[in-house]
Amino acid sequence: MTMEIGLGVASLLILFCAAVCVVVISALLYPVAGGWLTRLAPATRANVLFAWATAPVWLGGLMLLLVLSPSIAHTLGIGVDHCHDHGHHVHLCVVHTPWVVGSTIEWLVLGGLVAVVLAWLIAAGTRLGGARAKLGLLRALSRPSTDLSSTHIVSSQRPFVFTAGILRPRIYCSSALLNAVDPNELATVIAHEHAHEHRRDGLRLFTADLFGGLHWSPIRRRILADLHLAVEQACDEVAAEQSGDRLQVAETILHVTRLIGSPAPRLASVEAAFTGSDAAVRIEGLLRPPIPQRPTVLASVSILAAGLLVLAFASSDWWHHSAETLLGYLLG
Amino acid sequence: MLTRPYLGELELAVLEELWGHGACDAKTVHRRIGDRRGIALNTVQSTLERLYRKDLLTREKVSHAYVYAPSVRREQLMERLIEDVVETFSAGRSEPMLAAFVDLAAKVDDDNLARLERLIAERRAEAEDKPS
Repeated sequence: MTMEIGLGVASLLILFCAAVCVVVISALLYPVAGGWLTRLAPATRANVLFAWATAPVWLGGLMLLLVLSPSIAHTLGIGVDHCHDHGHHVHLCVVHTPWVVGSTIEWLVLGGLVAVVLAWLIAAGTRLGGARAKLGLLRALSRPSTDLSSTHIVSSQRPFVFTAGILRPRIYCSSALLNAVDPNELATVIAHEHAHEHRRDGLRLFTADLFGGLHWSPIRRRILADLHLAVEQACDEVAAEQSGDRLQVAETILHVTRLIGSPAPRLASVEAAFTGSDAAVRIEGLLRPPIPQRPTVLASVSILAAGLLVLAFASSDWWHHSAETLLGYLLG
Repeated sequence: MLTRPYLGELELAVLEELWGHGACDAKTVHRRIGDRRGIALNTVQSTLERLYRKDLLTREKVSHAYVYAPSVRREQLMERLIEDVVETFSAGRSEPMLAAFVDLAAKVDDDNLARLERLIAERRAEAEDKPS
């Protein structure tokens, strides 16, 4: 009996199963990987954490490509797929299997998926729209600085400075902060914020937050918190390199923390020492020599990843049939 | 006083007009800012009505039309708007598109900061004592 779903729904189910596997493996591995990650230079760590946060999406897509690869290769004339009758489970073939067959189960799966994706998109869109409205208002209430590029000065008695925006990031600095820091500190702050702008950290963090939502909640929070810290430390390193004085950057973070921070509750636990702990971790990081980028490590990891990819595609028939069998079990 | 949603661009423009020129009716506001933006008198009237309902304007009926005047000073409202925006951004990393130099919601643990200050001072002293 041929299973009554088309290639479209079959592909979506494979994506979903692959994403679930990635989420489970991530939940098991991440607590263990933490120590290794801290040994990486901040910029590298940020890239690894971004890849980890978005892994359910890109690894799921890669898995789908792997599973369909025998059929795609056959279509391109560079391989042969055996398209004999697969009456006992779905046949994942881009040539012979229609994308939609119109069965009940298909409509149910598609309907459910469309509802979930719509809800997710609406939530993300609402949040994005709200944030853009707030930034638009802040921009309207600020004036572009004549001395500092890409920087808007906001007349406010509250000291703050941040870079915000996804496609066109801008720096927002309050007049209170400008008046409270000396020229060296201001140069450090602006160098740090410009690094965020050039690194497109707004887009990076937004994308990680969007796709990271697929991870199990406690792991997602850890990954995103670690990513935020890595991103800040990467920009600290840029500022330190520009000024040539790591201690200057550490002192600036300390000063601005005092300006911005409100009094912490007096708690007995270790947690009290780390409320607003990013600042403390960043300062301590700057008191140590910079972690060097290790091209050999990166090269080794790249070669390993490439090797795994080649191995995976070499055994694509196995993945292809395993996926077909799995779909057969799922669809009864 | 001010409740969300935040003020839109036209609402701000109308307020700026009233702060700058004093109490006006809808037609006057439309003549000054509506024409150049290509918006209809109805739109300006709706905006004034919205601002009135947000308690940012007072109004008085003069002949057949309402005359609107600001009920808050510019500086007061600007500070309040900025505070609202920054507060929502600082609510525990609620906005992933934002990267702050120091977490806007940072809590200051004085003992910890003092410890870090001492560490920095020690490193400075070591760096200065090091022979070049």
